[in-house]
Amino acid sequence: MRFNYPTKKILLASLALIIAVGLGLLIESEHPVWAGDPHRPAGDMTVFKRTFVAFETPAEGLTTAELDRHIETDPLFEKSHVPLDGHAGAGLGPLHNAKSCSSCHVLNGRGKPTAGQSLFRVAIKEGGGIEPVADIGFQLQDRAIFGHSPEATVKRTWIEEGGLRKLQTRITRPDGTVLSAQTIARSLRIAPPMIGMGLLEAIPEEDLLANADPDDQDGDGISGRPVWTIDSDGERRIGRFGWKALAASVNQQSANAYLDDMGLTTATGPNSTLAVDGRPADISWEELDGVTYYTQTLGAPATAETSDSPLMRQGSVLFDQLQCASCHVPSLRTGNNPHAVAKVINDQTIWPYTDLLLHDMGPGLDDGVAEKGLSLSSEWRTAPLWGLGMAQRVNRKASFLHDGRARTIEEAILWHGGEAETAKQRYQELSKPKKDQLLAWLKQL
Amino acid sequence: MTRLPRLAPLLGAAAISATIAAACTPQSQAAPTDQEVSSALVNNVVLPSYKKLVDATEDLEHALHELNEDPTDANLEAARKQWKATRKTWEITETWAYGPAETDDFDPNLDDWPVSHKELAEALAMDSFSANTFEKLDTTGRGFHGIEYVLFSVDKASDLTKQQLDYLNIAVEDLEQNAKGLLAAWSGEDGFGKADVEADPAKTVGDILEGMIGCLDEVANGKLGGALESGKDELESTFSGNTGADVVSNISGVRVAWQDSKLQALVSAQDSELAKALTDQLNAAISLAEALPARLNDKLDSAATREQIETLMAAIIAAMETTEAVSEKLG
Repeated sequence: MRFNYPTKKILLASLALIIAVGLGLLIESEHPVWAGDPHRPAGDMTVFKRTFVAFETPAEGLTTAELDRHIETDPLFEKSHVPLDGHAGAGLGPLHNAKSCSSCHVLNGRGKPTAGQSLFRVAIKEGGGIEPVADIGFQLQDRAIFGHSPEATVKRTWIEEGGLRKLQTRITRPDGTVLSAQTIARSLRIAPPMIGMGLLEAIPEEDLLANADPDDQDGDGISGRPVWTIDSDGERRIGRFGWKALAASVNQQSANAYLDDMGLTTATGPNSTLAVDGRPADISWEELDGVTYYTQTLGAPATAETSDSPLMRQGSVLFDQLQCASCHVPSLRTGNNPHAVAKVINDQTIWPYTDLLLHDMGPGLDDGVAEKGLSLSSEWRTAPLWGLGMAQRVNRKASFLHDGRARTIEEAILWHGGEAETAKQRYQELSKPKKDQLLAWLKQL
Repeated sequence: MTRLPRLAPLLGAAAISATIAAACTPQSQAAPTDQEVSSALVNNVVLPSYKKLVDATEDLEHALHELNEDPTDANLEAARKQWKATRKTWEITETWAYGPAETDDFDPNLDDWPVSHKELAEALAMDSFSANTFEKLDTTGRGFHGIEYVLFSVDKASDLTKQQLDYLNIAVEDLEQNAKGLLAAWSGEDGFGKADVEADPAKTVGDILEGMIGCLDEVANGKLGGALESGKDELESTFSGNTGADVVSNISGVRVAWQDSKLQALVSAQDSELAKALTDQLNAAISLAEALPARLNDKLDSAATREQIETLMAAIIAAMETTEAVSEKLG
């Protein structure tokens, strides 16, 4: 029997439909990166502001009592600390990098790679950068209170090279001696942004581990691994905060920053007024807890594009195709913790674009400073990309990567190497329109 | 149909009257555009305010120089008076202290708080006080409050040591340099004014409102609220007893930003009731602030003063909430 024309048309149309649906399902299942609501990266905690105060705005979704506490604890972050009467070293310092949290976390965003908004980590090069520098340790405190000398002063010079820039430093001790760049590694660290920290803290460990593949068993060239560390309560947990994921909790990160960056000791627990060294703590448990709470209840800004915009979809697809999403994992979920400091932190689908794992980023980003037993000098925690497009809106001269060497998002991409070499090369091979599309998508985060 | 010719002149007259009426009423003035608001902010509000600040720091420098040359009680009084006058020109700029003031450290260089008593005492106890000594002080030993601490710490001019006089002259020079730096950062083709604010007018409108909200929040919850909790040592400008005047200047600055940038007119065209509400609330808060007693820090133990402060805080917060409503409305 011959098919008559209408039947043929129907058959062809049906075939086309089946193919289309099939392709759609295939794309959907292989590239689900735009499914959900990436416009709200912090879920119900998303802040719908893209002005210079976006990072300082309390998260949405807080109860009245939670918001009151956030407002009450806010001044702690901006408080300028001073040396106090009492035992030697009471109050600020005597050695430090800054005297307030907000000096470096400018408007809760990145610091600039300048003195007063950044600091240097150092190590002996030989042996992989795991040994401390005599009389300095692992962190160079370049400021001191009156009557004391800083550990050293640093002269920073940026050297242009092929459209990118590298940092050259001259580190001079108070006695005039210069730390040799041949033997002593130095790594400039700008302050990372403070957004969404409560949410990152609440991602279940098993979800982070699900993305880990230290031996690259799936052969995709990506081998993210967790940093296991002891948290401030003595429990073994995965590190999540800081450029090297050394701190497991916001409390630990805050206490470390108080001590290492500001020379301020913190009380050992809620029932103590003493620090670990047995002397009266500079920062009470209440104040440490307050700063922690303030940080945990900050949100992250909504993206500039809505979830259904063509740019959102196209950018997300490109991000995935280039393999960026293998480390900058677009979306994760927070767990359900009955003791969460704010209820809204629980059960959120968030879009931080990070797996919080360590990855080898290649020799270009290897500053020679490692952390013994925890990370190599070429390894870095995947930086969260939420709020990326707001970085320079909040602090107009802020820049990117751990030392702020990248003045633009594109420069940051071009520095990617090691596990990210493939992704970088795929980016470089893109046509100009596609590059522009990806950059536009990144800038609207 | 036959009625129309008779109605036509009436209709015509009505139309003409309505047009004339509309042309003469304030609502008919074309609402300013975002571009006009951002241009007015830069050229009518910010740049003139920073020029006044620079001039006032120069006046303070002269007054402190006079005091150094001739440390009489009259010159001490004149210097103190000038400190307050110069302070006013800074505090009024709080609302637009975003941009370079914040990101390029001019704000902490000019106005950090608290004062680091210990460091300043040690520095002033040295055999001599030089520019070198000053360099070793952090911003908590400099700026408006460093100068205030020393200037208002003595009973009479003859109590001022050479070190203190030298400190005052070096510190005011540093204050002046920072004021000039801040003005320069906003000026010129590549300055924050043109390159950032005027280049993106839509963003500017949002920024001014954020600046207003931020200032009102800091005054209410930070300055006043925080002080009520901690006690009198925490009040900013406690040494000179100038806290009340600071608060008046801060809120006045909010009003200046609101009105002189034409933002009020822009909002009024969209929602005249909301705009009027904000104007009224700002005026009310300023009046309440003007009624605060002098030397506020000495009266914090008085229940009546605390109540007065709480009433003022509520008025400032009301204005802040209305500003947030305006921000929401403009989207």
